Amino acid sequence: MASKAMKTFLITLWALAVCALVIIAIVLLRELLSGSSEFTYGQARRQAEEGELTFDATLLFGATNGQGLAREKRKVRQRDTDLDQIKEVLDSLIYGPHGVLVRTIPDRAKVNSAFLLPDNTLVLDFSRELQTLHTGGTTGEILTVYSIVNTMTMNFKDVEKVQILIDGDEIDTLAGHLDLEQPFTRDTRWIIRPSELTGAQPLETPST
Amino acid sequence: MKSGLVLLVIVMSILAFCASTASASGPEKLCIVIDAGHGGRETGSIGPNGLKEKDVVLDVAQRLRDELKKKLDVRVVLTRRGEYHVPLEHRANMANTAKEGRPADLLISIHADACRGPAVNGFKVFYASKRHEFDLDEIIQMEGATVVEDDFRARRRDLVESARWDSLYRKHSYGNSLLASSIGTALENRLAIPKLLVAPAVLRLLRGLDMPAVIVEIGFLSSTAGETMLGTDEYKDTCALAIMEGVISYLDEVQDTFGRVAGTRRPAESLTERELD
Repeated sequence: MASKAMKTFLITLWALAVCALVIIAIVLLRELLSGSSEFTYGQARRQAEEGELTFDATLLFGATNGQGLAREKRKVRQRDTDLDQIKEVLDSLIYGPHGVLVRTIPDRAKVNSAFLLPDNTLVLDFSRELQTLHTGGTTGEILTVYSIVNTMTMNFKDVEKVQILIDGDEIDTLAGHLDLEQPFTRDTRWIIRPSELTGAQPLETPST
Repeated sequence: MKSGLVLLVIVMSILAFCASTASASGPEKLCIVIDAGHGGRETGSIGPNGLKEKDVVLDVAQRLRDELKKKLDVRVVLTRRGEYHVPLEHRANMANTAKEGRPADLLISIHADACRGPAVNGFKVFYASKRHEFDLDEIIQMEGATVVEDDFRARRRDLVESARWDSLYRKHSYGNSLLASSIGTALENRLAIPKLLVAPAVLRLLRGLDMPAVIVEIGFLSSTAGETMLGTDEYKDTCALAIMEGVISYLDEVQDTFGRVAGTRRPAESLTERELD
């Protein structure tokens, strides 16, 4: 009788252990397959390389001679809607260049929201870091603003003008120079041709 | 006879009055506004070793004032004379009323440039640029459908006034580019650093100014070499001298082209508007 009870107990214990193991295995497998719920640029790149649908973007960063913008072609994840695609490209711009080009947007800046007006003005609301962490200088402001404006207008045919807001507000300038009260149109004068960059050497070690 | 004498006295009195008035007023002095960028809580860019843009440009502005007063019989107005902040709109208002309520003849704004990445050095001169300007008719068309008529008229008037203020710089397209190229050439002749750019740009200060105006970036504060250079008296003196020479060159050109020196009367109505950007 006692041994029968013991046998029953052991079988029950065994069954519970197996169930627990199965549950743990299922949870671990789900975690492994789903990954982080927050999108990261690195993940998109792995997905892009593994043959997922991609969007061929032309991003504009600071040129190596410090006097204009230069193009970098990049495959970014393709998104379902135009606005999501716009945010995807902006995230890539904020992430920064892959090669020797220079970032134009502080890396802690974020896009709060984006929306397209009926007159094809893209309104981009950035976080305050775009302004508070900006290095200043007229050239610095020109490169920041036109890297955003030209990237948007060159990648999205429905975008003709870009209006920049900071935390939902219109601003006069980023750092006291460029007039940001009204939207900007594309200005390709600030884009440097690759032939103009050949042989250009920085005068000293670039600062971080 | 008596009436003839009275008439003669009256005529002589009038002539004497006119003569005294003319000699008292004299030809009107040229008025030049010098704007030292930033100030107070707005430091502008800061060099790797802490040199602040607001301090450098105020120093150069004061030196430029001294150079102009030495060489020309002009009135010089500084928008900022010390360590305090002046909003951009106030600077524009000061310039637009500097000559007894009328616009000054020129404005020169002094700045020091900066950017991320490779360390470069050089100077730039910017002037006002055309930008996308709202098409009034388009706005009226959009707004008119939903706005009550009286309100619509008031808003239309507001929009027209706004467009006029925003477009003041367009009256001076030719003067802007001439002043910029004159100063650019003078700086190139004096400075060891290269001329990187003389070009139009959409700059807040320049919008709404009713006179030829430029922003001069006298070097790059973001590089160590640039910061060192901008901290020396010798360089600041050279900048001031060169800009002064550029102003003289501009005035000579205007004299040659229009037959009178800018500032004796407002030149805007006589200048041909040329779209140069």
